[in-house]
Amino acid sequence: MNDLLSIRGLETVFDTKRGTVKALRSLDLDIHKGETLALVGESGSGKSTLGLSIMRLIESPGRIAEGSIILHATEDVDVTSLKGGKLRRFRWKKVAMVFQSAMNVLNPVMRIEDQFIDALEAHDIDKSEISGRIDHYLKLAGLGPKVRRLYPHELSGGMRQRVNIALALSCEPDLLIADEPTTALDVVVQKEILKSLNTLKKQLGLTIIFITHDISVAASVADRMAIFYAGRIVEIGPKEEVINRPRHPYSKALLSSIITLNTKRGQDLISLKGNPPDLITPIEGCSFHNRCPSARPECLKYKPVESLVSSDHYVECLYPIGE
Amino acid sequence: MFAKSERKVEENVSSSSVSGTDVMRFENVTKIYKSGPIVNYALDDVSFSLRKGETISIVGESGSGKTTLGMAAINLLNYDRGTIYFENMPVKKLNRKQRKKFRAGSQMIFQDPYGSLNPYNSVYDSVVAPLNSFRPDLSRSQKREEVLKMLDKVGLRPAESYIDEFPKKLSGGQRQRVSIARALIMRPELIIADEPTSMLDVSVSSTVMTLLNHLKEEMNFSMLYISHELATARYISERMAVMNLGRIVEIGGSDSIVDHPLHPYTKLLLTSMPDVNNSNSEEMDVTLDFDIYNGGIKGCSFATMCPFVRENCKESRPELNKVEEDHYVACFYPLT
Ligand SMILES: Nc1ncnc2c1ncn2[C@@H]1O[C@H](COP(=O)(O)OP(=O)(O)OP(=O)(O)O)[C@@H](O)[C@H]1O
Ligand SMILES: Nc1ncnc2c1ncn2[C@@H]1O[C@H](COP(=O)(O)OP(=O)(O)OP(=O)(O)O)[C@@H](O)[C@H]1O
Ligand code: SF4
Ligand SMILES: [Mg+2]
Ligand SMILES: [Mg+2]
Repeated sequence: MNDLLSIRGLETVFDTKRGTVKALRSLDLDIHKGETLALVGESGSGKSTLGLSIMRLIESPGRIAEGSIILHATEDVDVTSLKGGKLRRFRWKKVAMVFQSAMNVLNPVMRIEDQFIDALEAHDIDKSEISGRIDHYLKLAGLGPKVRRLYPHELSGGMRQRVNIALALSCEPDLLIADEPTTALDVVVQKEILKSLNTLKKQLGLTIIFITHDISVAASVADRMAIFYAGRIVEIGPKEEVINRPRHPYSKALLSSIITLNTKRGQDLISLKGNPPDLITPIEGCSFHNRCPSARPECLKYKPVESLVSSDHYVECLYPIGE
Repeated sequence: MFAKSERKVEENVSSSSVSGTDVMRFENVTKIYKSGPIVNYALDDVSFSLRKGETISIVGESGSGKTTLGMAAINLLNYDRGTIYFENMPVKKLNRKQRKKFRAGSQMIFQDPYGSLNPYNSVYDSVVAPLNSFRPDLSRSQKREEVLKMLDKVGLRPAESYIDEFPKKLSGGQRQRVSIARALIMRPELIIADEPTSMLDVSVSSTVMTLLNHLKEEMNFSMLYISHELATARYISERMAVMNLGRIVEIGGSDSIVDHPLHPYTKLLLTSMPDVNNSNSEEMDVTLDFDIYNGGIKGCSFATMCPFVRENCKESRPELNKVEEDHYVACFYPLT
């Protein structure tokens, strides 16, 4: 497999008054070149933390405590040790991110066009090239040149989100991390944005990490899907596999709790009892055992390790479903 | 004390099943927001009724007027034209005593479980509030008893261990349960739930939906369920009203609407839904036009985006017309 990024043993922590929160617990992940990988999981499971760690945007009280993030370029570089100019050139030119709270990313008193010029100049893009690039990426994101002269408040939420995507892409990164880019939007606009992302991926050969808590959205964009739970990936595999044959009890619970147009009216929905573990105290055994319908005494004693269940499909469970 | 008020509710229910009254009825309700030169019809001649014991959902995109409709229903909003009836009485004309009954009998559950509970109030304080206003006859211990019963009903068990907690110790789903307990403690006839799960995780949201569903069966209240999300709307409600720019453009049984939408806008919403199995390959060829509001539209509210638009759609307003049993659409050329 041709990988763009390899993450090994990544531990990102937050030092708080109560203690150290381990938001990522020794996480391993390979990102294939040209794929769309969807990260799903409940609130607080560490999805944004992973995106921000890759971007090296974790700020105090957070820090990357352990592990490596290897970018396979002409030669391999460990992103966790980049500094100064090298870090600046990596960020946005190699990896760009559309942020979860994107509504506030744009500068309210600057015309859209000037926000692009600022970003592109900061990355040493040739001045003669800038104007063409702005039009090009706005167009790819489904916006006309008219918006260049507008201020953020003159745009609707969906248009602003497209500007963010265009802005992130204008430095022509290899990897785009899109953190809940459509969560605040209506279905019609959402579909448009997902379509433009897909087009961009094809046209630019872009690799995308798509973070969302909405499994239906993940399913409609992803090639592979990774299920997050308590700071680790508990299942990862081709989208069809994970959706149709989930092997981790958490994935299964997550999938069966969603309401679709086919859910029978008034039918009881399957749902999880209890809460995810506290990330301050060390976790004994499997992190899901207290909520797991298939848990056995061993689950409290032994930590499950990642195992291959079918082609390119891995699960971290002592008793995967169907075995 | 409480047995008495419960019996009263039951009487209402049984008498209604004889006469078939509506709990609430909107007649030509219009709400206009003006700011400078901008005139915005947030509700544009809205008429519909909510039957006793039924749940109707109000769906539509952001800005279509759903929350405005909910606020009008609970009398938290002054509208410009039209009449809203609560049990056949115009809400604006209720006398003091009737108004009190209306306020006790219609309760709201809000979208944001983090913003809608006062962080300095304990669970008890939040849930007991309506009793303090409407049942001064109850003693403190009777109220506490009633709050405990309600917490148990909404699944905060054991109730004793939640009653004195503060919101910051509760998860989003638990907070939303507290809001539901507060809304239900007066055994209201009408519940207005404005996107009650949109800020919750999928798995938490499904427990709250299951809970609402059980409670409406058990307590037999009527509900206006507001959501931009059609799947949960269909799950919880027997009927659905689709809003577009302040107007109801289609109303009918939830299954008929989902299975064969008649309005092109409804169809657009349905075909835009992401879906797990990716079976939703049908595309509608619309000209997207986002930044719009209803500034007093002469013709159809969907005419600028509609692929089936013809000249008369821009000139005159299509009214809600019955196309089949319990299914109405406001479109000159409904889908077949
Ligand atoms: N600045 C911070 N200080 C302390 N803890 C933090 C901080 N940022 C994140 N965390 C903790 O790290 C964990 C992971 O958070 P993260 O934001 O990555 O979750 P997420 O999966 O993106 O959730 P969501 O779906 O809500 O966006 C959580 O337990 C969170 O409380
Ligand atoms: N207080 C207000 N002042 C001025 N305009 C308002 C006010 N409240 C709502 N509006 C406008 O009325 C219209 C309907 O808004 P409303 O909040 O009812 O929409 P909604 O369907 O609930 O949308 P959402 O799904 O985003 O909650 C919008 O155009 C909105 O901008
Ligand atoms: S009335 Fe005309 S414009 Fe409106 S939805 Fe029907 S066909 Fe389209
Ligand atoms: Mg996040
Ligand atoms: Mg609203």
